[in-house]
Amino acid sequence: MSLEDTRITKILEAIQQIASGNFDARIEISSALDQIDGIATGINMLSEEIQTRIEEQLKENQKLNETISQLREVKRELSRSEELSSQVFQTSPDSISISRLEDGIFVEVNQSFEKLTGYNRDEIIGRSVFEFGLWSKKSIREELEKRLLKDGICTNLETDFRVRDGSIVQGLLSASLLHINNRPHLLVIGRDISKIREAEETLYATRRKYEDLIQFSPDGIILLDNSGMIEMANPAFALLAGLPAEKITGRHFKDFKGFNLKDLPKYTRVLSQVLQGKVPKPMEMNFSKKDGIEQYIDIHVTPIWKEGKITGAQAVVRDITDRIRAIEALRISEDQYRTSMDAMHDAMYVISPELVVTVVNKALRVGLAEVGVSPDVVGKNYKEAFPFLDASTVDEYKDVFTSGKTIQKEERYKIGDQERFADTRRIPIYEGKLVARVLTIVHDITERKKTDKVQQIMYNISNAVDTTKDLDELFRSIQLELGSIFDTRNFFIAFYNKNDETLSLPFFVDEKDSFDSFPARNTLTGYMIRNDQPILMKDKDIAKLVKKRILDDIGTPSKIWLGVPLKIKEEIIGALVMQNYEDENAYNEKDLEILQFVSAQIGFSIATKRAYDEVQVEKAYFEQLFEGSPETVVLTSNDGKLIKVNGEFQKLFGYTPDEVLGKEIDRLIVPEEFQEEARNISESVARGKKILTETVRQHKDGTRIHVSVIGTPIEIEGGQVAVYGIYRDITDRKNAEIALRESEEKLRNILYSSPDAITVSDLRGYITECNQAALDVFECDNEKDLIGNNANLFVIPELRVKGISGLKKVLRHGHIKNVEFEMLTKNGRKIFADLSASLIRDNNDLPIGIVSIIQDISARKAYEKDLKLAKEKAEESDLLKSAFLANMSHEIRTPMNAILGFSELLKSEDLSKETRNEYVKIINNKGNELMLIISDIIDVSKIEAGDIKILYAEMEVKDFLQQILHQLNEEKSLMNKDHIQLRLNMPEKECPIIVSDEARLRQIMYNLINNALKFTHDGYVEIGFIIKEKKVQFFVKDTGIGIVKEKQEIVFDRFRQVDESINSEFGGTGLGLSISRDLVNLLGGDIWVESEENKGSTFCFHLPLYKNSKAGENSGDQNIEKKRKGTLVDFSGKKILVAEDDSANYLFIESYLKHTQSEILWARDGEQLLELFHSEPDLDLILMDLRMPNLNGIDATRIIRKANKDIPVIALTAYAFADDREKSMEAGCTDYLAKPVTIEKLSETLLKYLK
Amino acid sequence: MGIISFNIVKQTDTGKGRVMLYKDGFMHQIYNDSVDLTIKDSLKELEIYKKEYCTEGKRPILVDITNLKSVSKESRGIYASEDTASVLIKAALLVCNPVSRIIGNFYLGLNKSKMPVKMFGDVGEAVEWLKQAHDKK
Repeated sequence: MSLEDTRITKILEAIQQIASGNFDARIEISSALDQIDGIATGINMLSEEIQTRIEEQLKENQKLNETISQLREVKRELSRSEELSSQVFQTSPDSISISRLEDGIFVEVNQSFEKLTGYNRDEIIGRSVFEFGLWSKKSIREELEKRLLKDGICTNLETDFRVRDGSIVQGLLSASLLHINNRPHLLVIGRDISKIREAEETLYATRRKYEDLIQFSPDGIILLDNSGMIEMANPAFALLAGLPAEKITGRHFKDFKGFNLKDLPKYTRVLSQVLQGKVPKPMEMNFSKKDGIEQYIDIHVTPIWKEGKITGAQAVVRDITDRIRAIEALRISEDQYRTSMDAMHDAMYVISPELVVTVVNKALRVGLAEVGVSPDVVGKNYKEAFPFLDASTVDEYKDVFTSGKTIQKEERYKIGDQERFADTRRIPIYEGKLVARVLTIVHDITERKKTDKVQQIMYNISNAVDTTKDLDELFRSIQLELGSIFDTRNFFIAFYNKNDETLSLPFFVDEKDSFDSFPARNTLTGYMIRNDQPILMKDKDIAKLVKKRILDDIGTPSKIWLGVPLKIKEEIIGALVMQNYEDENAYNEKDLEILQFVSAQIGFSIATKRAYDEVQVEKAYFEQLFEGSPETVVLTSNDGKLIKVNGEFQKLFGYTPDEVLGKEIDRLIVPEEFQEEARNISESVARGKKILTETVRQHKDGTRIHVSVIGTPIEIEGGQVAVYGIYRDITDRKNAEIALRESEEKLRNILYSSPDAITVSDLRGYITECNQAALDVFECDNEKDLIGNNANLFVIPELRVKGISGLKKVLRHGHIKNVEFEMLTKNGRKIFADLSASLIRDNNDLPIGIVSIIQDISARKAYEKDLKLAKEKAEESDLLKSAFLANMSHEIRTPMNAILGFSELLKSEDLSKETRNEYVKIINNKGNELMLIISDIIDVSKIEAGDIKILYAEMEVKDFLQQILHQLNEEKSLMNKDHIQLRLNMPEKECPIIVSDEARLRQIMYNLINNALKFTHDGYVEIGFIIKEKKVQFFVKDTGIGIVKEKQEIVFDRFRQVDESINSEFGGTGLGLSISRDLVNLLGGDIWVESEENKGSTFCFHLPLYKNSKAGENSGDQNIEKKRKGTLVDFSGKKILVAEDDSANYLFIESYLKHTQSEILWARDGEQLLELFHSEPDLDLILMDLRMPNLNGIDATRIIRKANKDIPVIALTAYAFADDREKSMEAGCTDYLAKPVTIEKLSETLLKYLK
Repeated sequence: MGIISFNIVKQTDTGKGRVMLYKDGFMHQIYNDSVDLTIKDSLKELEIYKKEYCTEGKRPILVDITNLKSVSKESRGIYASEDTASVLIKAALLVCNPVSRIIGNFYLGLNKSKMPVKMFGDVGEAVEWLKQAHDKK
């Protein structure tokens, strides 16, 4: 059997077990996880699943069985109580239900429940009360549950239920807990109380309405019982009685004091009738308030029925006091009214609906009588009574009777020849709701109408002043207006001319005559004017005056003449006259009065019109001036609001008049920064001040405009009413001014900032302006020192004539240029000045001043002077150099000649040894001379180039001088100066130490001593020092030829010698002292000479003292001695490597060293040097030439130092410069020797390192 | 079966396997050879997912059930629970042999998972599906 068969067999066995109900069976899964394992896995999982599900089913079954058991128990319980309860249960009129407390599922309900809810039992049982939504308010159900759980029972709980049809039923519930099968159940007994509640509410509402009716009734109501006791009184009755209701109720009506005692029998009788079921008529009775005030009431008593029986009476009481009193008042009023009518001034009458006059008052009767109409009009038809009335009044009366509305109108009557005006009112008089009569009141307004007419005329004439175009039209208007009340067919207006006593007639209308003017004298018009009295005169009266020659007979006589003077403010200006040629009654006194009255207005109107015409002319002029002005003209109110602007305003500021009128001008055209200035201007003008100023305003588009402003207050009758402003655009001028100012400013700036002194003077030369530079040049503190003074004052006196001629030249030619003057400053100091001046001319090219530019050229002059001196010196120097070169040439050639000559002689083989040595000595001496000359020249070059480097080190002065003395003692003989004593003079107790460069100090001393030896023929040369003021003062004193005093100054100059001729005798470059001076200066000291001709010289210099150890500590002589002995050394056993490319130099060194018994190795270049250095490890010292082929000494030393730090390496080179010394020491050299090296120096140095 | 070549940023031993988190944001659960997965193992895995991998939010997971030998019913219940769905967005079941396929089918058929679960025989497709789901999220 294969493995797979085995596995399949296992699967089959497992399936058999599962099939037999053993679901625990599992098949093992191999590690192959192949198809067979997959099948096995599936079977395993299936059996597990099945097993699980079977287990779950078993659990469910068990639960089900438990439930069934519970149900059975419930059923048993129910069966037990069923018999007892079913009868009660089913027959109960109340609805009963049993439901589970926990979920509300109905267990049982009775028939009443079915009826109440509309659901049948089968529908309900087994379903929850919540499914049906029976509880309309869940909270009640919860409340019920809570109460039950707490108390076990709940009774009389009112709630609403929602029944099957959706309607709400009000129910009253009682509930208790039942335990069925140990589970709490709810037994609910309910009753439908909807109808009871409905009936209660209806009853309540009815009662409420009735009570409200009584409570809020405006009539007083009291309720009485059968005995007459007051059971209730409403608020209105309480108000009527003036007592609170509670004090009224509970007492018998007879005891209530409101009802009058005398009326009690009547009340008792009425109550009795009412209680018998009768309803008596309402009664008007008296009634007393609490405070005793008598009132009238209307009382209506009715029975109160209850269930078919009369239980009492209800009395409704109404206060009728006001009505009763009104009727009484009316009656009284009727009498008063008749009396009043008669007392009235206006005519009054009353007519009936039949238009019959029923009443007339006294005024009417009188009035009728006055106009000739019968006053007995009562009882007549009104048309008959008042025949003058218009027929239309009939309709008006009818209208008043029907509409009941008052009519008021003005009426015009014509009674005879009289015209009358009346203000008539027709007033309805009511009786009840009907108009019973019409009262007519007639107010006579005839006079008022006339007055009104006159007023109207005056108004029209006044108005005509404005509406007429000229005086003539006004006069016509006056004539027309007066014509409405007078006959003005013959009418004139005369103006009185006082001067010539004439009357001009601007208006003259006449049927007969025609005049333009006539004399005032002897005319009626003139007469009237003179007397200042109006005149109404008939022809006969006029004739009398003519006859009496008071008047002349002018024009056609009129029947009646009416005239009044025309006045303005009490001054008579003329007359107003009208006349009639036919009717002498055409005018009367009344007319005279009216005309006189009207004349005042006419006079005023004429004057106004004349003034107006004048104003119009002036206004036209003004308008023309205003509008035609080329300037911008504005008119503002005192508070700055624009009233008027002319056309130029828009051109200047860009605003149209509509945009600006009524607005504040300052807000429109004043820029922000000029607001305060504008405000000041406005305030000044507002105070009545005239303003003329120039300022800046702005265009509508913001452009700034320079303007001149004239502000003038306008006053009328002493009061300022407005401001008149004129703006002129001065922008161009301002810009020009600004440009000019800027230009001036620039010029001024140039003037003031110019480094040259600039003055402006008038044509006489008096200074008017100056700049700071001018003040500086002339050493002035301020402008006052210059301005006002004549410029010529600052010229030195001896040149002032030249100054004046210069001024004249400027005036004549317009300018002068670069004229040099010597001038004086304020302090009297002389200065050299370069002066240029030119005329200043005005616009008309006329000279107005002179501008001068003064340049202080004192410095330049001094420089020029210096330059001249320098030039002279240079020329002198040039000569010196030439002399020097000649001298130098001689100095160099002399030794060179000797060297070359004797060298040539040395070639000769037949020379004796002595001679040869002599030649060599000469060559050596001359070589040394040549070296000195070259050294001097190099030093001069280095000093001039600033290349001299000073290497400071401490040094003992005494030691130093002793060395010098020692060395120069040897050289002295070379100079053939053995006879000259060289001596040292040093203070014994001093032992100074200075910090200085020994090499340079040595050079100085050599120079001085050599000079001293050179110029000393006999005597001695003494060197030494003294300590003076913390300085060491060296000296070299000789007894030589000395230096004349004049030449002592120049001995330190280069190329100078006291006497160039001396040079030829004494030789020398003339550089030694110059170099010494420069070196002393470099070392921080000074050098000088003290000398006397033929006696000797002492050259001294001093250097700073560093410290001063006292004497006796060290003996310089001993040191020197040691060193000197050191030159006699024996270097046997020592191996010395000499690196030198120049064989001559090597030979020199070799020649010396071979006497020291040392072993010598020679390297010709740097490479050989290194080879020997490595091949000869026992070297004791290296003499290193710094300049070698292949590898220079500096680099070679560096290489050697890497291998051997101890071996002494002595640099040896021709580069006698400090740089070489530093470089070689840096590279690792132990010491340094400059070529040409002396045997002594070489010996001393070697001794130092080979000991 | 494709090759997974994502950058693993974290991995943890879950006892019977290990879970990894790739840079792309999805997790990868693999099992040791022939593992019988019990409820204890599943609870431990879920605890690791919750505390170490899904602290910042739900993640998709690739569950390689190839090496499983069996999975208990209770264990399957764990994977189908709300608890698991609270940390995982989707799960791709990688099945590459008959046993794992049967297990996957049982899981999908009988356990109503609270998250989308899909079975794949190819890891590339599974990852693509997970990434889609992940990207959509």
